[in-house]
Amino acid sequence: MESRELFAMDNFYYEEISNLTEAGGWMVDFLNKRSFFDDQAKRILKVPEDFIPTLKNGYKFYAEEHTDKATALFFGCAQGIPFDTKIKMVTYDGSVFWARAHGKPMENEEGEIIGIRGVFQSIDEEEKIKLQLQASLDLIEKHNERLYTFSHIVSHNLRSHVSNMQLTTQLFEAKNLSQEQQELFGNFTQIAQNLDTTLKHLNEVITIQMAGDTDREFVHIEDIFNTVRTSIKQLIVQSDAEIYTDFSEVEKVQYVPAYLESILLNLLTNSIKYRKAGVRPEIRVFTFEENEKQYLVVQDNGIGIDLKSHGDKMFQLYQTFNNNDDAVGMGLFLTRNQVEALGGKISVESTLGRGTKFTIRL
Amino acid sequence: MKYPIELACIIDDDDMYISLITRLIDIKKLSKNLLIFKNGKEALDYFVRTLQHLEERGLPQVILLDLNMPVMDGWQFLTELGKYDFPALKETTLYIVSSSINPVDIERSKAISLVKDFLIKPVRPEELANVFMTSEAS
Repeated sequence: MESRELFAMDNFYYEEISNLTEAGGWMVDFLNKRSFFDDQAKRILKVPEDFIPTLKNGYKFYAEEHTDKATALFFGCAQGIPFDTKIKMVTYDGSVFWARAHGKPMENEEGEIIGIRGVFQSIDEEEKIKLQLQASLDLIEKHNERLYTFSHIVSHNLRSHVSNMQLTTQLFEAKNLSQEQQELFGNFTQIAQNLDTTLKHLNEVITIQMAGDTDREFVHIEDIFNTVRTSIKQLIVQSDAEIYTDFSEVEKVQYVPAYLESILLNLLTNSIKYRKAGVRPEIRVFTFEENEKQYLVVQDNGIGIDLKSHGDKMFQLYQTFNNNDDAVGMGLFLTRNQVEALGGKISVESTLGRGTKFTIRL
Repeated sequence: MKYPIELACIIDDDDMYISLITRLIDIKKLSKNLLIFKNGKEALDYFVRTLQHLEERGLPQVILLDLNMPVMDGWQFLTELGKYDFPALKETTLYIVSSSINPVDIERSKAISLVKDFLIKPVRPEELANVFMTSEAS
């Protein structure tokens, strides 16, 4: 191939790439004291066709607050230090945009620097979105922090009062009261007790949000499962539940052991609690891997739940869906919080009268 | 009537709690005398003075320390008192008594040698009696 043809081809690719990436080229030639913009650079900067760039007017293409930065980068580059930076630029007609800019020194055969050249690309949209994203992230973080402090104060300060109330009821001699007064005093004692329970729940929720990645360790899922099974042995025997397990696909996982224990405990006790009358509870607990993600499944043949009417409330605090006395509406709320605190997700499938299946992405 | 404890000390800023716990100690006859401080600083000043002058009679056998207090909180009190390293403090049993149920607080208290245990408010009367009885034995 002739070198001229080759050059033409080179130019073809150069043009195409420049069009596709919307990256403009520039050059400063120290020997001839000339600056140069390629066509794409001219388009991005919206300069007239006959515009002649110079070292002096070149700085006008950088936002005022970034002029010093640009100067430093160009000087550095002229000393042999290449740059790759994000900088605010200004078009000929004065609109500001974010750009990514590269610059490299040009050397002659003797290794002397005879100029600098580089490429810049408008990343305005990308950068704006990133900045917006960061801003909303910061805002959410601040809100979260405030919420956390607030709930902490609430749980702590309220608890001081509640504990005084409880202590008062304990010191109070109710014997000499009339029947009616005794009843009312009984209410008072109960209220203090309920308040205390509510605050303990609140505290559990706060504690979950505090645990971070540092508390993760390698846990054998089967070991945790066995611990849980032992702790609810009574419940399993009484309900005659059959539990099938298979942890062969995912045996170990990086997790907070206490969370995994709590998650399994909640789901297993739920499965037994909401069993179908007259049917032996069958619970399947297994793990699997899909697209490099690990999952834990707890599936039962219990009474199931009508997801259409309750689905959205299922993982909320103090939501109960039947008249079971020991249902407090805490378990699934905690479970979801624990799963999500570690970056996972919990989902549920259920058919009324058929059973429920919880899938947790660990 | 014999009291299990000659002198007990309560460090807490909550007046209601102090009045309740005082009543409880009275009713159960758990301690003959009570020292009460409203924050860590008041208590620290007292302890440093007493221990530097070796007035061991002024040293309580049981200390019930709250965590959240103005001026100087329970943690600061423990740090400051710990700096003096008074040998006589070995004769004293210190309990944190807090309404905090934050596991972080409980873990933190375990690392402090001065702290015998962490009691969560409300302290049940039997629990408190137990604290005073075991301190008598030691």
